[in-house]
This record gives sequence, C-alpha cells and structure tokens, in this order.
Amino acid sequence: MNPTLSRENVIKYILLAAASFSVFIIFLIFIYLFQKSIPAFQELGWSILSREYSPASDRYGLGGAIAGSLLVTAGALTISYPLGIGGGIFLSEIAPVWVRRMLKPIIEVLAGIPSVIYGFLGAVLLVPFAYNAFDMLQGQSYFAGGIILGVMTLPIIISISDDSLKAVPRDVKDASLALGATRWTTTKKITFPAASSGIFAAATLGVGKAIGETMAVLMIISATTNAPMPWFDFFQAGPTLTALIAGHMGESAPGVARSALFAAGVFLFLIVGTLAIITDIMQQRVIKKFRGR
Amino acid sequence: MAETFTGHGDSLMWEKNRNKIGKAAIAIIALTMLTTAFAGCLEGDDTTTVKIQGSSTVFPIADRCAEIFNQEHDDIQVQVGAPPVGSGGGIDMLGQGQVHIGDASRAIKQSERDEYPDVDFTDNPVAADGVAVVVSMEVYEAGVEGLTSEEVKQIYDRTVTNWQAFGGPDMDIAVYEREEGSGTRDTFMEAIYGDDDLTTNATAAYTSNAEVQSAVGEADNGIGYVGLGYVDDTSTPAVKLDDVEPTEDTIKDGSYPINRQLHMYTDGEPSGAVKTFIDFVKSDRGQEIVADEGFIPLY
Repeated sequence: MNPTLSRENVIKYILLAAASFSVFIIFLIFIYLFQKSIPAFQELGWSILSREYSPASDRYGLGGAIAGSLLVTAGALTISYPLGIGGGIFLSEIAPVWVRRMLKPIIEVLAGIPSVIYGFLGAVLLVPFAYNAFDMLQGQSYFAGGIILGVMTLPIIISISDDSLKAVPRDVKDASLALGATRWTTTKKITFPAASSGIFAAATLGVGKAIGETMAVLMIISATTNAPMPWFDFFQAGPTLTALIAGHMGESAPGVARSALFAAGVFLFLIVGTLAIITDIMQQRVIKKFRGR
Repeated sequence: MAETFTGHGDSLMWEKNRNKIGKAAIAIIALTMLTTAFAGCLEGDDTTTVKIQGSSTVFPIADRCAEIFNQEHDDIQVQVGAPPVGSGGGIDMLGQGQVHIGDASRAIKQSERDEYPDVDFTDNPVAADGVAVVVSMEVYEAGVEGLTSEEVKQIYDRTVTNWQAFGGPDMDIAVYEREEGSGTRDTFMEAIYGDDDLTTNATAAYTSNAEVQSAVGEADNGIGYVGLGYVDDTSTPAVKLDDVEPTEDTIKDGSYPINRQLHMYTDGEPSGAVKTFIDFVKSDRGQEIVADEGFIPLY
C-alpha cells in the first residue's frame, strides 16, 4: 500500500500534465513567433511602427495595422461588454425562469456560429446598410467591422457571465437580502464581485476573439494596406494585423517580408497579453474590495 | 464536506486493478505506435501528382481543367491549390520546388529569375486576357462611359475624389484595388502607373477578381479593375480606356492598353505528367474551358 501512488495522486499528475502541456504549447508558439520575427525587428528597427506597409517598395510598417486592430476591437468591445455583461446579469438575476430557459440555449447556439458566417452576413447586409444609412464613402470600414465583431463576441460574454453569476451560492445572496439589501444592491455589491473572476475571464475571451478575428474582418473591411487619414478615422477602411497576415502570407518573400508578418503576430500576442494582464489586475482589485482587506 | 473515502481503501482497489490498467495502457500505446508506423505506407500508390498554385485569375482555368483531366486520367492527379496565393506566390513556390506549375497572370520579373538562379522558368502561355476598368452601374448610367489612363491614375491616387469631375454623379469615389502580389494588380499598375511596385491610395483592397467585382457592383460610387471574364454588364460595366472598349478583339490586336497573357510556368520544358496536363490545357477542350471562363483562347 504505497500512499504516494494512490489513485488520487495519479489523477492529479495526469491533470497537471495536461494543464502544463497546454501552457507549454502556448509558450512554444510564442517563442517560435518571436524568434521568426527577430530579423524584421533587427532590420527595420523603429520603422516597423510606421504606417506604410508595401512589400513591393520594401516598406513593412505595421503601425497602420496595429491602430486598425485596436480601433476595430475597441468598437467591438463597446458593443459586447455593456450588452454582454448586462445581458448576463439580466439572464441570471432578473429574468423569469421561463425566459431564461428559452434564451439560454439560443444564445449558446449563437456563440457557436462560425465567424465566416458573420463575415458573410456583414459583407452582404451590414456594409451596404452602413454605406446608405451613414452617408459613408463606402460601407467597408472599421465601423462595420467593429459592429460585426461586437455581435460575434456578444453571445459568449453573455453566456459565460451568466454561468459565473449563477454559480454564486444561493445562501450568499439570501443572506444579503435578509439583511435588507435590495435585489439590485445585492447584485451589484455581492453577486457580481463574487462572480467577477468568471466575468473578467469572459471579458478576456471577448477581447481575444475580437482582435484575432480574421475571416470576418477580411470580408467586411477588405485586405487593404492603406492606412486611413487621420489614423483614428473609424469610418474608413484600413489594415488590421489579422487581415494583413492572412492577405500577405501566401506570397511573402522569405526574409524580411515574412519576418514582418511574424512580427505582426507578435504584436497581436502582445496586445492580447497586455489586455489580459489589465483585466486580471482589475479583477484582483474587485476581489480585494469584496473581501474587505 | 465529509471525506467520502479513505486513502487506504482506495490504494487497495488500485492495487487489485493495477495489472488490468497497466495492460490496457500498454495495449493502447502499442496500437498508437503501430498505426503511426504504417502511416507512411499511404503514399505508395501508382499515381503521379501534379501540384499547381498561383494566380487567382488563372485559378478557374486550372481548377476546371484539372477536374476534367483527373476524371479522364487514372494515373495522374492534378491538384490545384486553393485558395490561390497570387501570381507572385505561385512563382515563388515554383522557385522553391513546392509545386510543378506556377500560375501567373503577368510575366515573370527578372528579379524573380535572379532569386532562383537554379530554376529554369519556362513560360507556357495558355490564354489571353485583358484587365477591364469597371464602375458601378449607377456611375455608368450617369454618363461615365470612358476614362483616360491619366484620369484613372488620378482616381487611384485620389487627387480627384468626386465622380462629378468626370461627368458622373456628385458622389465621392470608392476606389477598389487588388492586393500586392496579384498579377492582375501588377498588370494594371504597369499600364496605368508604368511601374508595378508603386502604391495607390485606394480605399479598399481585395484578394480576388470576384471580390472586387462584387464590391464595385454593390456600391453605387465604385471603381475597380478585374479580368475581362469578370465584367458584368448589368452591375459592373467596363468603361472605355483611352477610347478603346475592352473586347476580345481589341485585346488580341493590342489596341486595348491593358492586356496580358495568362501563364503556366514550369521548371524547364514540361515533361511527363506535367506536359500531359499542359497539352490538355492547350488542346481544343482546354481552350474551350478557357473561353467558358471568360478568357481569350490562344490556340
């Protein structure tokens, strides 16, 4: 009877291996990306942040694409965060049971719809609509892209927020109500902070999905490499990191050109990583306040 | 929460079943290794594969020809890569030996020949084509039926931004182009700008003729350029360029300024299965497919 080989330990180590494996893979991906992008950083230096990207003239400025990805993600999150978290709160705290029972499966199906369908619908429906409704030069724009990405990430944020809020133990909420707090105060000060880790995880997922979306962005904003003037013009089309990589990987010459695309990947990684860290810090703050320490 | 088991009793069960579990684990690992070992045998067929990649313009011709060719030839499999990576990509892949045929909708550049000095890029033209400048239907109907090369350049540089300047409606011009690496783009830029390495100030760029045509068709203020086969008179009519309308005849006799051949490049003179396929594309059946797809047969 060797206690160290008990079934508990074996399972524990298997699961530890599984978790470490996934982290290890991501680590390896990042190392590879970073390694492949070094030639570009070395040869281009700071000019990698310029706004001109044109392989034919040996210019590999990613600044336009970085700004574009940030713009389109900001647009998406403006829609999906308030509506998503609000929707999650509604579904778990306010909606009557029959409403929740009806909506929840629908939302989960929506969360599973492939992004290319959103891209297709966006290109065929939203782009002409935006063009006409807002008197734009053309429907293809960060604006249209942001809307579709927002709609795309909405179901996931609603679903995960709802799950996190529902997981808060009933007795905690009951205790708050018993002390005389209103339902909204309970939700705001007790349930939401208790579920905050899940909700912030949903937020990070949403960001990752929005900024990494390639197909929908290619179909709605197009594969242009001309950065808009001025750089923050939300209603023009322009490059995004993902569209850039997808549009140019095929015929990029090995060397600086391909290395620059890997650099674009590194930037993507950095942006998501930074936002994930910020989200984590915010979540720590909420937990601290909640615990009262 | 109370403990639902003691570690002691658990080890007993584990001890008893350890043999079974151990045997099962070894069996699974062995099976996996065996299957992997035999995976290499899958390639032992007697078919020759011909790989093609490159221009998105040539793609419909290559794809359709390959489809019919594969049906008639049991011993040769022609694989056309999708999605197409563009003329530049196709030539690159041929240079690196990743494909047998590199499709291009423009002639190979000297710089590309220099990049792969060991590869003998041999041209096998299979069709003729023109790049038509198309506008949205509303623009055409308002009176813009022809433009000069200079005017097209002004539009693509966005030094002129309103259709009114050319007799059209009072609307800003939405300018559509192709991505860098596209043979269609190179042909257009060569003709209008004189150099295919320059950039324009176009407002959106797509990676295929079909997407450009679709975008211009859906807009009511758009201009773009597509291969002749993609001109749709009901949604994206072609405008005359320097007073010449893009038709099969004007392209063939060279009076239309933006004309080109569609190439299938090979490493050295084609031989074996590659030659069989290219001969098929040049044959009557193949050229019929060329015409079907909207291009101009050469043979």
